[in-house]
Amino acid sequence: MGIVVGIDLGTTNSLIATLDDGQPWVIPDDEGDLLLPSYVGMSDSNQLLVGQSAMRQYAAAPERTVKSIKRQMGTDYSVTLGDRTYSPQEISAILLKSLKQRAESVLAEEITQAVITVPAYFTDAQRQATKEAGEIAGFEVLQILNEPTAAALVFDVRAEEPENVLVYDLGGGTFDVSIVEIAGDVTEVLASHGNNRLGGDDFDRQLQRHLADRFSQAHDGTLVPTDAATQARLLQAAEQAKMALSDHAFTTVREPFLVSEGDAALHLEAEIAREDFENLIKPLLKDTLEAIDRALADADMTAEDLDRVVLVGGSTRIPLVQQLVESHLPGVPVSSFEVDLCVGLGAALQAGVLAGEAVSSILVDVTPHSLGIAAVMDTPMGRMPDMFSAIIPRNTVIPTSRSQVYHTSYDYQEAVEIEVYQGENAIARENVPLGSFRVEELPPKPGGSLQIEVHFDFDLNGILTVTATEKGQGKKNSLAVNDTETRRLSSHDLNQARAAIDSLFEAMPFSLEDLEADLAGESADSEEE
Amino acid sequence: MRSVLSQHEVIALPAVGEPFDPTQMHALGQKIDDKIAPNTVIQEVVRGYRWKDRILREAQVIVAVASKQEPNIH
Ligand SMILES: Nc1ncnc2c1ncn2[C@@H]1O[C@H](COP(=O)(O)OP(=O)(O)OP(=O)(O)O)[C@@H](O)[C@H]1O
Ligand SMILES: [Mg+2]
Repeated sequence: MGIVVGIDLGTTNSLIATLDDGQPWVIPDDEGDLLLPSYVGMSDSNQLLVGQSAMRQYAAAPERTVKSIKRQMGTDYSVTLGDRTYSPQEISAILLKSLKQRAESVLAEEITQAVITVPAYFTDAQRQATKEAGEIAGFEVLQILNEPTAAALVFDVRAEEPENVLVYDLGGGTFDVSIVEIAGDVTEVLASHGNNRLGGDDFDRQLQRHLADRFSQAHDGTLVPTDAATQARLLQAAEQAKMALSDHAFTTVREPFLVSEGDAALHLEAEIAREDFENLIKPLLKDTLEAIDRALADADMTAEDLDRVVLVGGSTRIPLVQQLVESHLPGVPVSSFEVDLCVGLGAALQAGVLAGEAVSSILVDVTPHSLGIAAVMDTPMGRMPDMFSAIIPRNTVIPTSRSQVYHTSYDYQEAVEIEVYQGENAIARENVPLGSFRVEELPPKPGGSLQIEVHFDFDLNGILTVTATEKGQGKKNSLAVNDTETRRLSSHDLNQARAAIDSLFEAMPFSLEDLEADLAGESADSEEE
Repeated sequence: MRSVLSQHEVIALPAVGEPFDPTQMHALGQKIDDKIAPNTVIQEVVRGYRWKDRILREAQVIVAVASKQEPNIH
């Protein structure tokens, strides 16, 4: 049996994956890049360009560069490049062939059999066109697989019990949500909804407009020029800021010499809070929650019928997206793993299953307990001190960084004490203490008006670094906790282990304290900087 | 700054006046200009660098186009 591959043929990016010992991995190009931008073009000298180089020439030569061909699959659209016209199948075949060559050069073997993914909403004509594209590229197409099914397989290949998985996919230019039923080797998409014009590109444009406004405010109403170069810089700055805000509560955008006015050069320098960005995109995200409800209604289900939610697509790295989906489907575990590679990894798993190989779901390192700090919180009983505010929820895949903003609680507060805990109890002290530190000499301000950003960074070695920064003058302090527990589990095992432990605790509530005392004894040494 | 870079064989990529090269440049847009051959770089927005034969960062550029596209032949 030869090597089989799985291919995610995306609107913006494509990739090819294969199996090693039953585990899927993405094959890089010779630069080490995993994603192939889904662009095809012809250079000035009639050379075929695929991927990165075609993307780079797009703005210079849109008339001989094709992007987003996926949107045309199954139509009779045609495009002229050089002295020939091409069908959507043929353009897609060029992308597929380039991925095939990449795989053949890394694996030093001819590759013919492939599984290719398509959105669940694709019609028969669109699926047929995708299959033809594969055949033109020289593949034997083992299966045209639905993208949400591929993503679900990464977490549950061969689940023994039937499972209902909701896959929420928010990429660069498209959004869709599907409900997939997995029962052994049989999978079925029960419902699918979405918007094929919604994604991270829209968030970039919202933030680009916001940056332009901030520039004008800072420079007495001077408008940002609308020429392509300035706008392109602003858009790039917006995308970078957006990504930074997935890990940090604040980011600073600096674009020196953005505008020259007479002799004077005007710079853009703006601090953006995650909250500002969230307010810009919230209305767009509300629509995605409605799509979840529609998909559930179509499948004749409620949230309780779901065993799992899987997040897919680069834009699900935005914390607000995770929060909104989690709170919209309370009680359903939310999983995500390599959100931009997941579909391709699942396609490779399916190719392995079809070829009769032994395959297994992905193993991930997770935080077995929630990690957070003690804080004053509003509760139904009023403001309560020493409540546990979780910053990294349990079962989060590591490495991870999360941050949250807190406020001082009384007037002229001079210092804050950051007490770090792990556990699931709402009362901070009932959890396992990991250490504490102070940020002192805070500027005198009324209570609630001073912002403190608390940043948790959990790396692959199980080291947790907690940093607290006062936003006014930038006073900060931090703490490193070594040997924080991690656990290596497949997501499927994870659910089983979770259920087993929960039932254990229900059976023996009296042993809880002993257990926590033990854990506290093991807990790590801490040091202050 | 530039001289420190060149000591380490980090070389700025030539851009303005060169034909657009998609292997080492990233186009940000076009500008109509009839005095310059189409597809020539007329503005460098961000400088690109090369180290040995590796592109560290591509140059981000604006490319010239002619004011009228050639008429289509049917
Ligand atoms: N850390 C991050 N925070 C926020 N957004 C991110 C982050 N990383 C990537 N993105 C966004 O994810 C998007 C790309 O996602 P992805 O690669 O899943 O798209 P795609 O599958 O090719 O697109 P589509 O599904 O629309 O065809 C881009 O808009 C990118 O800006
Ligand atoms: Mg996608």
